[in-house]
Amino acid sequence: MSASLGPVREVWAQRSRARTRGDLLYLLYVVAMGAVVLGLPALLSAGRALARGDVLALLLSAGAPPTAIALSLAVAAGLVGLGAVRGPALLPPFFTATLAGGPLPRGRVLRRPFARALLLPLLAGALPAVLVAATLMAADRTGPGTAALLALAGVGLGLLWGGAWSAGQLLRPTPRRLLILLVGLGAAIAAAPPLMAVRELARGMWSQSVAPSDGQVAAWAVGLVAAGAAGVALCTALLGRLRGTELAAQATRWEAATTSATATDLAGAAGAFRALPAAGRRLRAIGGGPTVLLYARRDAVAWLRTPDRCAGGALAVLLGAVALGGAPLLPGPAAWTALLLGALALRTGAGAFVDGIRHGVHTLGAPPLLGQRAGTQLLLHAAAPGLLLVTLGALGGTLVAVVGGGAASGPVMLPVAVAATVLAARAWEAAKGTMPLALATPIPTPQGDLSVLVMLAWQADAVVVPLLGAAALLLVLPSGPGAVLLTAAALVGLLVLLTRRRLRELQA
Amino acid sequence: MPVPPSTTPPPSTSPEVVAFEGVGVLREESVLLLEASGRVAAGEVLAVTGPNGSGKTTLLRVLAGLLAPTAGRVRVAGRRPDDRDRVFREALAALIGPAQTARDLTVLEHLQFVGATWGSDASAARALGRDLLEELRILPLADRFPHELSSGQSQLVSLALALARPSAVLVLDEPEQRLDPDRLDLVIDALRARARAGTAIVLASHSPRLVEQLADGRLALEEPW
Repeated sequence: MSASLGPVREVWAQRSRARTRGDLLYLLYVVAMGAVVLGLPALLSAGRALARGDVLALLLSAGAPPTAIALSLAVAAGLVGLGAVRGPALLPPFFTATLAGGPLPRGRVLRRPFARALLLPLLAGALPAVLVAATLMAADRTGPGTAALLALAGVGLGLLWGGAWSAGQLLRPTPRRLLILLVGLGAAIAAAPPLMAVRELARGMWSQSVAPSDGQVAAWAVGLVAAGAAGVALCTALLGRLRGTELAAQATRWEAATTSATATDLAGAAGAFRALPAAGRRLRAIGGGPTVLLYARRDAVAWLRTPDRCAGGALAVLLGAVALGGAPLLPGPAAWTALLLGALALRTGAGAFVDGIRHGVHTLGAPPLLGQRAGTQLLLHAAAPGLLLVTLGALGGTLVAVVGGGAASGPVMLPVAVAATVLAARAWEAAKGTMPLALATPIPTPQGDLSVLVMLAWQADAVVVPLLGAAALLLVLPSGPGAVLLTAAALVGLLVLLTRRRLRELQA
Repeated sequence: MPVPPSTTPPPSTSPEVVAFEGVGVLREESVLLLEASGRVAAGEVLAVTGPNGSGKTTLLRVLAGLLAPTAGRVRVAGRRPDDRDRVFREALAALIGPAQTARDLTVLEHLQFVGATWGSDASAARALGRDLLEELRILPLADRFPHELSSGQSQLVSLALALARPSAVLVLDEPEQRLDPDRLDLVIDALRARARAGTAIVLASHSPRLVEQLADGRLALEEPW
């Protein structure tokens, strides 16, 4: 049989809803014009807004390059892990069965979806690089040539990230874990000098301006693009080695997630990616003692049954706590960026530890099986993750406080308070249910139907509320530990009340 | 037969543990259940039969407090079915639809956890769980996670979960689902043992064998249209 995709593409192109060549060209035109007319001016405006003394001092300091390397490696490690659950080379289940599982060379079949998926890491690498370049240009610290080289370096970084993502899909679990460990270790080593220099914020590494020369930027850009291209080429050549069972499992999972997401069930979509337990079967999950201990032990043992997820979650919470702890020590926009990234990482990591809370909500509407009602179950299931998140939050904050060398309580208080808020927000999110139809009621305006904004707000509240909570806590931090504690207590109390309301609505 | 820890005795002195009169459910223009009446005393088995759509599951959901009737009167252990009423919750165990399992607990741990939440100590709950699995001949599944079970095995585990908690009333929706004839005999034996121990059982079934061997009384529902 001829190994050609030609006939398949021909059949596919003959569908009634198939895109014509003209459609494709129009789509490309719209994207290109959108980037030129909207994207680029927006980035240049953001660059002008960021071209202020404190931001420039950070960008041009000796601490910036190792920090960028550490962040890039941390993202790469995360992408290797992501490849295990949703790799870049993926087709819908039907095509996985018929094309990737058929007589055609698998590598050739997967090449196009792989190339499409690479656009994501490419954009993720290029956009921040363009933003930095725009900031430096707005402050007359660099010319268009160097700015272009910086953007090119971002593209190279994106290619490397694409390679890391693909490697995660290609590798078996043990080598994948090793690679994550190695890249993560690299990130830690790269992060150590700038972190240790935080205490010298006013005079050391972070205040020493060492703007790289054009030659250095060019070397980095060429090196990154060459390495990225080589990585992507290698992964492309290895696509044929992807296992059919793994592809089918990923395709099914992805389709289930996109179906849930399309139906505005983002929690269901996220649930499709939760690892199923496969280890620790012999651990005793049920023990004696008071009921709160019964639930806490059951939850803690359950975490150990998905060790990768548990370790990833704990690491994300810890790194989030470090970023949150660093926020009060950083100036201006850098503080808010650290706060945003830290709160996001803490919230994401916390997701690995709240399955018990989710299960408590799921018992609603079913005949009572457990001795406690759903609301009580949620409180009991909050004990173990609460202890863990607060402990990790305190640990991350203490690390920052120690290397920061200050006696201020802010770096410890902030991550601990955010951890408590995030846990309450997670319980609130678990009790969300489906979107009320009333929110889909059209809101006609001269600018179009604004109901889409209401629906987006409803979908995003689980992410936005913890971020707003973290921002509120950072704002009250200068007022002292008492104010932070009071604000955290108020936020947690409010979220508990909102959760209770949602539980009642689900039960009705 | 493994016996869960005793539950609070029903406060009612009525011999009927379950009583319902003229129960009907109407949703907008749609009739889900025409008027149904019945009584079940301790140790009795009431079989609810009827074609698909006749309202069997709806009636069981009403008895379990999961659905409010639009007509009629229902009492379980002398109480109006209400999930917020602890006495009612202690009195009634039900299997209606798939059981709500936790993805990260093994089968035996599920049973043990259920027992522990009702006040058993961990070792007693574990022993009771093992006995239940033994009774339904699924002890080899003890260390499996829910996603590692076949559909028939899941049905048996769901049934074991309903039996693992203390109850004066058992409400079961088609317990014979997805079971082979041998397993069905095991389920019949297990339910008969509960009835002899004094549990009032209301079950909906399409299995003539199960109904014939267990039922003390029958309630045949008709299609509401």
